[in-house]
Amino acid sequence: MKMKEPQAKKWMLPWVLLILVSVGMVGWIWREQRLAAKGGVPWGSGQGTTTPLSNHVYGIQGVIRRKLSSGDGKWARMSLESDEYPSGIVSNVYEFPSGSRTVQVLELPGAERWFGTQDYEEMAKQDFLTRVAEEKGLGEIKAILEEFPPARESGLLYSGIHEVFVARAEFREVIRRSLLKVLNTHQVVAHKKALFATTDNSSSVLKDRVRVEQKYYQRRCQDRLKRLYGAFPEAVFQRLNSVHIWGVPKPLILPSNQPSSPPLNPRQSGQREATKKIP
Amino acid sequence: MMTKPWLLILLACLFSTCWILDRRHVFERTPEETRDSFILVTALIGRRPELLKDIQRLSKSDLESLSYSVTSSSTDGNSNRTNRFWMSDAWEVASRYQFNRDLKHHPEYAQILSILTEEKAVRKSSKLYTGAMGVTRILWGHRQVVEDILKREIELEKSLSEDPRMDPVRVAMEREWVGEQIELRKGSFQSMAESLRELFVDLYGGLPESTLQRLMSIEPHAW
Repeated sequence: MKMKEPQAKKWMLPWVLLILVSVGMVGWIWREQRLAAKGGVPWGSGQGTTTPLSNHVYGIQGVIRRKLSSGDGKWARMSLESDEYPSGIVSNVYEFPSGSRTVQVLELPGAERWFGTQDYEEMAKQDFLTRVAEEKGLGEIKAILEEFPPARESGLLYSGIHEVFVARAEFREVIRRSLLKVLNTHQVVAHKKALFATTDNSSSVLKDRVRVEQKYYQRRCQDRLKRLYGAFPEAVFQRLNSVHIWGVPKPLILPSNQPSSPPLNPRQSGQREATKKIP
Repeated sequence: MMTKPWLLILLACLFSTCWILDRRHVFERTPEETRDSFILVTALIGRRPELLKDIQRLSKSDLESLSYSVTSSSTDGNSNRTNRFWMSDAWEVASRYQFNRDLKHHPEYAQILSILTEEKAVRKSSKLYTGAMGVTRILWGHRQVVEDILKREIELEKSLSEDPRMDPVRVAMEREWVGEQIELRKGSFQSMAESLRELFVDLYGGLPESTLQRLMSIEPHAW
């Protein structure tokens, strides 16, 4: 028995080593697998990337606040907080990946005052009839909305068509401006280093800006269609978003209430956008 | 050697470590990936017999590159229908790998899957990813046409603003010429939609127009 004890001690070290190596190997493989899973596809299960929107009225009556981000998870690099005033003035605060912010003030067509009234509907109908021949997309919008009973029976069909017209034109305008690379010229120049530190390059910032702006116009349109027709199904809205619009919508202004300065069309609104940095 | 058994054990440890490192792709592989590797290798065996030997070693990235070998063997380079794997299981597996790869860069593509899977015909067909890849190609085509049209408009505006004293007749002619070009490009939307309709007929026996419209609303973000 005494002879066997040192023999057992002799075998102890290699066995401990073997166990340690095995545990290390298993741990290492497990870590690799976890890392691979983390870097996978967060949307693989088919989740949507739009963030919930909170609309509320505060302080000044009739102000609509929208909060959006460029995506979910790692794509949520840029966020937008937008306040839309009843006059049609919109203030957008963009928060960039570096943490810096930009304020954009613009005026959008479709002031709140007449929206949803029969006068507005009449104006929208006139606008539709004069433009449908040259703007084929308007006919497609009408056909899709007519298939949706609440829109067909509301008596405000053309107001909805005009809303989609404006949203699709703005959507295209964002692409146009991104091609001109004028979207966030001020911020990219001023905060180049900071942006480079948090993102791959300035083009990814531009891409996020396009994403968030396009989401904004879609969300605004969806909100306004809900105001016109009540609940608005996502599937119908998706169909409307397939329509291509090439023209610039004219603002609908009632002759008796013409404002002193005419509202801007989308293309002009892009040019008049005032951008400044918040300290 | 017999007097130092710990040396033997250490050598065994070293050997097993090397073996595990060499085979870790196999350990990481899911049963689905193993099945996929068999499908892809079986499809490509005629052209690349060496794959059979390495079938156990194929990693996920190897499967991705094999998927391109499957889809890139069209005889005329344009139409998938000329590819001998078109509509096969290998094509579906290859499409799944390519679609999931694209999904990492374009999260909005997840909507394609959710819209397609709402259709009973798609769920029954086992050709979900073949259809999804077809949609992504059409969406890219759309995007390129939109970009092209907008670029032409921008170029026209730029050239006209550079020379404000340009002859009005020449301005009108230039506008008309660019307008014709743009109208021509717009016509390709129709042909792209038609090719997608045909694809859906081949794969699922056709899908409703509303589904097609919903799919066409997805915007690939890679400006």
